[in-house]
Amino acid sequence: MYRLFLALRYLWARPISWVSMVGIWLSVMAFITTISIMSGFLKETRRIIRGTTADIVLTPRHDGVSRSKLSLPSFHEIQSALNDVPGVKGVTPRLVRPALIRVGDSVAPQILGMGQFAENQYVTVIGLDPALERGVTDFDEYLAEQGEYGQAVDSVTQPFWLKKVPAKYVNDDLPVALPGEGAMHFFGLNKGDVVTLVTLPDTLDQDNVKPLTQRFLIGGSVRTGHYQFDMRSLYVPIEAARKFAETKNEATELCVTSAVSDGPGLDATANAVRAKLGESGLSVFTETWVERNRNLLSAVENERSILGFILFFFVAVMSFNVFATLTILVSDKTKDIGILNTLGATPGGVLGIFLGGGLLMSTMAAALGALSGVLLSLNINHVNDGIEKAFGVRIFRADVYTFDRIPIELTPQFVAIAFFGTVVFALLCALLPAVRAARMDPVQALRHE
Amino acid sequence: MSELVLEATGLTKSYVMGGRALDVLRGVDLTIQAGESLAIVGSSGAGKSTLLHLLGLLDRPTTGKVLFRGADVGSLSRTARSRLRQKHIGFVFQFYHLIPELNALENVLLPLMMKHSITSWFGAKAKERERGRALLRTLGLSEREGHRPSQLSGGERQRVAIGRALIGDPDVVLCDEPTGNLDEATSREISDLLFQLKQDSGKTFVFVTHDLDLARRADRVVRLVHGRVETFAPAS
Ligand SMILES: Nc1ncnc2c1ncn2[C@@H]1O[C@H](COP(=O)(O)OP(=O)(O)OP(=O)(O)O)[C@@H](O)[C@H]1O
Ligand SMILES: [Mg+2]
Repeated sequence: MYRLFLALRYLWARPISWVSMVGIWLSVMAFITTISIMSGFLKETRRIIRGTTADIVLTPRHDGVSRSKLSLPSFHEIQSALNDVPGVKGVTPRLVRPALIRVGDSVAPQILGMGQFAENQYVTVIGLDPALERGVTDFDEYLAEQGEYGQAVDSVTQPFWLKKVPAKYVNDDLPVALPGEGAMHFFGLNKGDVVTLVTLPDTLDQDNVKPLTQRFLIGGSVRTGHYQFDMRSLYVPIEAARKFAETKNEATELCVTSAVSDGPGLDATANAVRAKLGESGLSVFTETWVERNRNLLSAVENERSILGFILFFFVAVMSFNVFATLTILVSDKTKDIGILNTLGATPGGVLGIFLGGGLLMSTMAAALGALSGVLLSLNINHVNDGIEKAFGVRIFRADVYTFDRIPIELTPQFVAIAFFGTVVFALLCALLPAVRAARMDPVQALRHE
Repeated sequence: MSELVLEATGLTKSYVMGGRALDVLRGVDLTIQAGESLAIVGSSGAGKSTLLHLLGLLDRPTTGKVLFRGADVGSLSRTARSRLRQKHIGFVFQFYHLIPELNALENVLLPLMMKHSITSWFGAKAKERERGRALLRTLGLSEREGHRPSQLSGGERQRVAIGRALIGDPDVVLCDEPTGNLDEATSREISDLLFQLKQDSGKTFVFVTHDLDLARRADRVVRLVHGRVETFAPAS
């Protein structure tokens, strides 16, 4: 009993123990908050990337030489091959094509030249079939979600359709295009506007380069949540895309939806797809969304690991405070240790006083740190706003990452690591001075001046 | 036939310093009966404190034996000797040696806390505190229980230290110059108190002292000269 009692009394009276505890407290808080923000950042990045890609994407295999062979084996062939592959929920074709964009239709298509396009006036045209996408990809959700610049489509079930076609174009029977909301904003588009797209055919004849043009009617916008992606994308019906590009290819990529869309489950599906396609003799390049975006994802994950590592060291270094505090305490209390010996304290008992001191300091500080770290993480946006209001500076600029709020993902494991890691470190740090105190010769301690 | 509490046979203690041995004790034979009071006198540096530490199982002799109630303690571990000390031996020092962070009552209760685990302490706390208070009352400190050592006079501090030595109900109380740091009147008070307590409790008391007045009141006086003890009758 006396061990904790004395430890508490000894530490209570000493400013250095409080300073040490504040150090541990703040470092644990910083660790938890930083990890929460980084985890949130990672989660948000994954979510945004998710928006731009299917679970598994099949693209034509090409060796970089024979690019003219850029055509996918028949969609139906692949679809029927994948029908009974475990984990595959559906397959949809997409025809992706780069194009130049020009707003309005005042210029006759045949006299459009490259000189009339400012830089940045290019988009990726994505041809798809909304009926096939339904239940397989998240395309429906992107139609429903509209941000600041978005303009909802007239019908989610029939997105490439305009209720009221402007009188000017009623007779033109123009296909409908849905830009990403960023593109809508960037090119200053509105529902009912007309854009002209320009691309080149599949095969180029050196003597006869003939650009392909097509006018599209804007029917609303799409929001995946990935700002850069939305700024460059334009969705059109897949048949319109085929016609525009004058291609015989049915698709340039196939989107496969897996029952499990992340982790080992996704990899299992991808491997099953690879195996099945190999068996069927279909030469296709199979990639999961994680593999496609490996660089970005592992960059963010790496950043989190590095920050976590640094901050964990910080926590460990702060635990050295316990060593310093207890070392000073043991020196200060040499005489008391002698007296405790005369009262019958065993070496183990003396050890317990100082280990108990380390335990008290570290658990209290780490608990406070964990609690305030969790609270700060959960309220980081309020804190950020509050600081901006009070001092006029914005510490976290979420818009740099195209987020409107600081993303937070609180992981109990990291809180536990911070708490128990601190306590274990602190106990290790306490061990040295505590052993020194326990081994002190009682008579020498009593004679100590 | 009274029982032997402590017995020292052929105790020697040498300190080796700079290659030269300093023989502080050169063969001390001493027996202490249960219930007696023994005063040990001797000039400064004679080795009185050294002897008391050996009798209190704080230190090990270079050669010779200390028997506690007939049992040799030389072979016991530090922990085992600590346990014996906790149960049977109380110490009072010249410079009081109170724990500065604790108040008078807490200082007195410390030996009791040592006997308890956390859970048993909370069960026994009220009772033990009452015991501590009663003892402080006997020592004339009822108004001082909440005071820190720094807020007490020397005499009051020594009373608290005496309370701390006695609360665990030891068999032997070893006092190292208990009045050595006090003025004449306070010394008198403290020795009155010690002998009163001795009379009331029937415990064994050993005093190391320069204070002849205190020594004279003991049942027996020995003097430490040249590392040995000899009987001594202080002149009245
Ligand atoms: N650790 C040590 N190393 C060397 N010499 C020591 C040590 N401890 C004590 N001594 C020596 O032993 C001798 C006896 O010391 P001790 O404290 O027992 O004397 P004392 O009789 O109690 O004296 P006083 O009356 O001044 O308290 C002294 O000469 C002291 O210097
Ligand atoms: Mg002495």
